[in-house]
Amino acid sequence: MNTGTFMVLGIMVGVIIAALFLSRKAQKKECEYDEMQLKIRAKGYQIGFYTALFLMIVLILLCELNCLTVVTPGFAVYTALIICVTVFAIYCILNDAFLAIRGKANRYFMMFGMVVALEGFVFVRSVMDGKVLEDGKLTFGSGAPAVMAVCFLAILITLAVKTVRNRKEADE
Amino acid sequence: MKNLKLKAARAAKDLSQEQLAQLCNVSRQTINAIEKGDYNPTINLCIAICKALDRTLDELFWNE
Repeated sequence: MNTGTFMVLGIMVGVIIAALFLSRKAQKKECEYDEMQLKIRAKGYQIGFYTALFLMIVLILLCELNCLTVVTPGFAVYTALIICVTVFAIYCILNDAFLAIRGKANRYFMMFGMVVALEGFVFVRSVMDGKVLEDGKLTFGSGAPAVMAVCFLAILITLAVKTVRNRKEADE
Repeated sequence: MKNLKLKAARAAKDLSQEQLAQLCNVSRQTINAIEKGDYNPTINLCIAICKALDRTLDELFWNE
């Protein structure tokens, strides 16, 4: 197994641990989201699922037509999954179902800001080290942080815009 | 359709959307969506709102 496989395995284990941690935390806090938010989140999961389905079909077609020349299939799948999560998050943010009933956006600004900064730093460092491309293909080690940084930046910007709008709306 | 009766009842009680949301254990955005007519609440939430505003279901949610 190469480094990329270990990285994917590491990410998967991390995601599973985070999911277990979050589900336990969610069970402890009753009624974290209200009925409207739960309805919107359900729709968000549906949109995320269909996005995944669409991207997977596109990826299969690209692979079959030998058009996937810039990235490896594994990296393309990883990117598709991150895009699905981003679509879900942005849909929830835009429809006021991302933050829990008494959730504060500040905590998320810090968390997402840190992710963007760290992932951006890793990408910039790999560009400076000249490790972005390997055999003419984008490497997982440099591509993954770039994808993460871009997606989290999109989420961060959406959250910022929505927070400002909500504050204005609350003041009116 | 906008729920102006709810908005008026909330204003009569001198409550902000945020305060009413806290009383009903929902987000402010949910109260805003109900007032704007963008969200149709469940009977449980309607009852919670009525209790918070000391009104009946008919007074707040019945349209002739």
